[in-house]
Amino acid sequence: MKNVILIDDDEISNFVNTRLFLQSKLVDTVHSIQSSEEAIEYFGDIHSGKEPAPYLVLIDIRMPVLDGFDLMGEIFGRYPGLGEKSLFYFLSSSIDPKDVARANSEDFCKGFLRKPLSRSILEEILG
Amino acid sequence: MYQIPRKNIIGLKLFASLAAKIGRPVIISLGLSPTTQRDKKMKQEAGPEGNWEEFARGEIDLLAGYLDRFSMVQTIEELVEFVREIFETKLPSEYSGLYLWNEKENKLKMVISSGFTEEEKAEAERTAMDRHVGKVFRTGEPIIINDTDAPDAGFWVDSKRSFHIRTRLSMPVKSFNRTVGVFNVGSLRPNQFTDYEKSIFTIICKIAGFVYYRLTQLEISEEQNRKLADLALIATKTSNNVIIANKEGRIEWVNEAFTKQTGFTLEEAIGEIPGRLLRNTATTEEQRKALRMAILMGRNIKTEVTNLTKSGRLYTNEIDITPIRDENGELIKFISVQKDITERKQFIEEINESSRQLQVAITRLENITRFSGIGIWETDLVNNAGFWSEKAFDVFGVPPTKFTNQYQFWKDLIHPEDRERIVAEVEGLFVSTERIIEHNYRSIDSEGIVRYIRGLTYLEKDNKGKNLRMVGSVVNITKDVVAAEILAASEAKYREIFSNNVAGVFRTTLSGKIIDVNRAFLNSFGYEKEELIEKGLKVLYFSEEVRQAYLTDLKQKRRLENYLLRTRHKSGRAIDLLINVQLFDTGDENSYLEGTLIDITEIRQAEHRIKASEELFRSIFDTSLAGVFLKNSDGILVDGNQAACEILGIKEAWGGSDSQFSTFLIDKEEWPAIKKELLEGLNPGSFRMKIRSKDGRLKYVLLTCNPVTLDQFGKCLLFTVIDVTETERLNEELVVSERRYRDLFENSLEIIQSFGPDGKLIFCNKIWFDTLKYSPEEVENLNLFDIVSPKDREHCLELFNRVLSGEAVQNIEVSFVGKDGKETELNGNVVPIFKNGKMISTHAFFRDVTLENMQRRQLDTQRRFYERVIENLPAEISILDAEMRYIYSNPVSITGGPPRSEALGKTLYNRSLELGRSEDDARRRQGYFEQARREKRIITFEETLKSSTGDTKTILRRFFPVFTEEERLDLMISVGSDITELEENRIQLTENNEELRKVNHELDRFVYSVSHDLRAPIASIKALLSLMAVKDTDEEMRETYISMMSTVAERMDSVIFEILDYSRNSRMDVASEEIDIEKLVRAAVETYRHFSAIPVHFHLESSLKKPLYSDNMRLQSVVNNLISNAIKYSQKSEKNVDIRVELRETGHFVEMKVSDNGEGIRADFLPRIFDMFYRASNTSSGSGLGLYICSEIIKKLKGSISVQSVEGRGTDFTVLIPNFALNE
Repeated sequence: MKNVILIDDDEISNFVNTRLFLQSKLVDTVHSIQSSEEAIEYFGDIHSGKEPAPYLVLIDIRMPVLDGFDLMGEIFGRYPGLGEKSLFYFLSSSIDPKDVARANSEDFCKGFLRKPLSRSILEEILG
Repeated sequence: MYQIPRKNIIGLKLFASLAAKIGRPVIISLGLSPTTQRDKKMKQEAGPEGNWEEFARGEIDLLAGYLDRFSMVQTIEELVEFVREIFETKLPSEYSGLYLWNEKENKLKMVISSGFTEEEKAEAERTAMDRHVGKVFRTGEPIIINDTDAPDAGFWVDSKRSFHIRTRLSMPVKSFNRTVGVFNVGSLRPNQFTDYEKSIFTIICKIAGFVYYRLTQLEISEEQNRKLADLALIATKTSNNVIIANKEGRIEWVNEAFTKQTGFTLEEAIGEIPGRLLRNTATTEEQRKALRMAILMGRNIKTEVTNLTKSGRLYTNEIDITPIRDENGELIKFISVQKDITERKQFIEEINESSRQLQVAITRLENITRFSGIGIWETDLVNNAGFWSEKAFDVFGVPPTKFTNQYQFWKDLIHPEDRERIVAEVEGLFVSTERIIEHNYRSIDSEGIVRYIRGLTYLEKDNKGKNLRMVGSVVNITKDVVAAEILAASEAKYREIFSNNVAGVFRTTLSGKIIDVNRAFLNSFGYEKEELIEKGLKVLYFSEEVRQAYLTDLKQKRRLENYLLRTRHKSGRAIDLLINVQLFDTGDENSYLEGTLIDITEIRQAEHRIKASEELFRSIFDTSLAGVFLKNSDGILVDGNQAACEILGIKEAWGGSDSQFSTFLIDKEEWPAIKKELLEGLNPGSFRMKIRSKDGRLKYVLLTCNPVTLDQFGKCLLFTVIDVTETERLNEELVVSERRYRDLFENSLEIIQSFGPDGKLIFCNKIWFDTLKYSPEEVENLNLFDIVSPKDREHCLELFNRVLSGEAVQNIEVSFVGKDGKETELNGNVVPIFKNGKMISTHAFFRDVTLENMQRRQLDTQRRFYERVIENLPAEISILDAEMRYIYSNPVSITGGPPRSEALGKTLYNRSLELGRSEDDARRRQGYFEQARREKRIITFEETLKSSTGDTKTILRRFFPVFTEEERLDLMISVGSDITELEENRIQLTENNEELRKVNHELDRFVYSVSHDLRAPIASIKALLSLMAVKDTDEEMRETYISMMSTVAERMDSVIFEILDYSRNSRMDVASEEIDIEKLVRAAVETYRHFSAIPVHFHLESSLKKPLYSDNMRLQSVVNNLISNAIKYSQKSEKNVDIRVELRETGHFVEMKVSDNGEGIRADFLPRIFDMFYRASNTSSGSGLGLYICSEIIKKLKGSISVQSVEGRGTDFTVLIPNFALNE
């Protein structure tokens, strides 16, 4: 069972991406998270086994309070070992090369994905 | 029993036990440390650690055994035997000997000897005291020689065998402090004995000493006790005084004779020490020491002592002290028997004195008989009898027949003038302590002639002072006295002759030192005596060769007569001397020469002397350099000297035609006239003539003629002819030289002029004329001031007066005006010329410096130009020397500090401190200097200094090193320029750069953020479109999609507006217009309340009175932002949104406070809420630009914005808006 977690403060972005994943039939479930607090809480549940570990995690970079990098740093700092269980991708509309470079330099990160997602991208990362 | 000093044994035991405890060889370091090879060997034999203790214990047991054996020894033979045994077993060596002091024979006896022949033993015993054995015995100190090659220490004395003893141990055998013998062992190997063996050796020797001493004392006491019985009997009866003293030497009993002799009774004497009681101070220290020693040692002694009786009388006793011992040999008392030998002593002394006198008399008599010129007399004053020797009568010149009462007889012979004195002298002896007088006096002989007598009189007295006898000797010294008188007279005469002699008289050493010379001698040379003594006679010779030749002649012949010597006068001119000199050669430095000399330089003088002394004439005649010939009244040549022959070129004596002087003349015609003049004596001078000598040479001669009368020839004419050819030649040379000088003067490049004191020109040289364009005729009456430039006249007059007063003035600068009116600048010196103490003229030497001065002036102008340039350059310029000292500083000072000229002569370091730099800075500057020197390049550095006005100045300084051709640092040029402004600009530029960098960075961020915020909606729209494109999308879904797209587009629009706001703020100028801020607030609330899902309650409170002037558009942005935020971030739990706006005036500002009851902001987010793109809330999807723009606008308006918030309760924004109306 392939489940996906989307972390993005943009409600519409989450909605659209959820639809895309579900329509593609490449995944079984999509869980979208809209704030960093919620994300930390959810991963705490994953860590304690309450929630299943996701197959794929897409994280937005530009978010209020904590940005994508800081958020993941916080999560991995609190719950070590999570990084190996899932595929992590950063997903952003940013065209700032610094963001791309930083995303690629993170160990846990499989890659940087630029919005909007498309079916072909999904096939690539899930295939 | 006797006491054994157990110290060493105990010490050894201690070491042994220590050795056992520690178990190391070190322990036995005192006796057994491995100092020698054998020690080491011994140690090896003893084995490791444990065995040492065993070894030491064995040794101690052995020593203890020895002690037991020693205590049982009864005779000296036994002792010796035992000692031999010990040494043979414990100290084996090739040679050993034990010497013991034998009291009876008073010598060291060899009681043990091994390794020696009988003959060697006897020799050893005989020479014992002279060898080291004796030294050890005397000093009581051991001699230990471990290894030596020294022959004196190693070889046997006087032995037929010669063996090299390498090791030698000589130990004193001691008892207490007394040495009783010496033990001596020797080995042919070096370092034969170990330290331990030496220790054993010492101990055995000590023990043996005690035993020996005990044994000998036993023998002596037995013998003494036998004597005692006899003595006791004698003691009471004898007239000798007897003392019995206890063993400490204190008196126990004295006999009657003692009391009689000393005056001390038995009661007085008891308990006293005899020496102290009887004050034996006159006894010698040696005798007293012997006494003390004898008593201390309990020995018998026989000696002499000189004591004082109770009444103080001195007496001498022969004293015999015998120690008394009990049967065990313990000392119990002394018996001293004393015999008065005072009288005997005196008697001996008297005999000695008599025999001494006898000896004197005999000696004297012997002398008398030897020298027969002495008369002897003797007067027996007691019996008034006398004796005169035969010679005595001779001395006085009286016949013995007249001899009567000899004392009176002698007195009568004395010259009446001397009698009283002499008799008083002789009789003075009777009352004086003197015994002998010596005196000279006159006597009158039987013929009434005065004689000089030297007498010696001796008065003999007995010991009571009674006059016994007079003995005397007399000598006739008349001859000596007379001779001395004659000598004195002759000396005085000689001195007179010497001093007044016209001839030089001299006495000098061979080395050329003056002993004495007379005035004539000094006059001949022109020196004073002191000068000559100081300079030595060598100055009188033209060369050392001349002097040596003279001295060689003198040494060969000892006497030189009429010796011709050419010497040098003080003035340098030659003087010809005729010398008679005698060498008194003593063969050492006392050799001297004595003689006379006559200056024959001037022939005239010589001739006068000839007249005065024919003898002298003769010598001069023969030796003179001048030719002299003599013609008698008949015109016949009667004599001529060698010099004359030489001058005329004649080999032998003259004759025939040669006798006529005229035959030699070149110009024979002038002769008759000259001859006439000569003969008539009209012209006593000389004639200069040119002759041709016989051998054909041309010569100039001077001829003089004088009439003389000689015994031999009667009236004669004396001709003197002197060769002056050389003089002529010199004269000619002089003329040439003068001409040369003249040429120099004339052709000199210097202007030479001479003016008289009256200012009239005396002479001047050619260049003078050339320069001043006068002709020689025109200068006849020329005055100095005619040629001096008018501007210099005053100055010149002053100088001229100075020269007239006798001063030489140097370095005069003056301008002369030539006849053509052209000025010539001159530089030179003027000197006054004196003649006979009077100023007669001035000489001036000038150089034309017109051109030079012109060039100098040009240079000066140039220099001034450069100086002006340097001094006015806007830079501090200094020049330092290689030692870092300032040698130049221009007056420019960037900091306006003290005058920079003050730096001159100071070092860079000191000057730096003086100008307020720290020591570190001063050192740093030195460092730059050194760096410039070292690296041979310009060093640039910056300095920051406080100027006198308090500003901070930045100075760029450069050190330019300038090197000499040898690459040494010549100068260091320091140039400092004010770069304060540049520096400020640079700082400003840096700041600007920083700002720019920041702006760029922000811009970067801005661009990316904006692109993100703009792209995000587009991405959403694109995604929504692709969703819509899915075929089976139902209508409802499609509407949702479209609504979403609309929201997204809305957001994008607002972002664009915000960007516009931002851009507008940063781009547009700030406007100043009257603003109704309340209206702005109300409008904003009206606009945004529609976005709220719940009702918005709004409350405005304003206390504004003055109109607010500010930028309307900007302020509107701020108000809109704050109001929209207050509505946007409301809490869902609240029933309505409460917005409260307060407006009031504070100073120049309008304070606007916007409060809400919204969700509030977490405290940790508060500091970042004004950051660009920062979003602190998840509630809204704002762009993160709103508050950033607010803060930027407020910044632009020079106001301020602040925030206060409690999470979950609400937020207050306070904005201070400057009122431009009030600011202006």
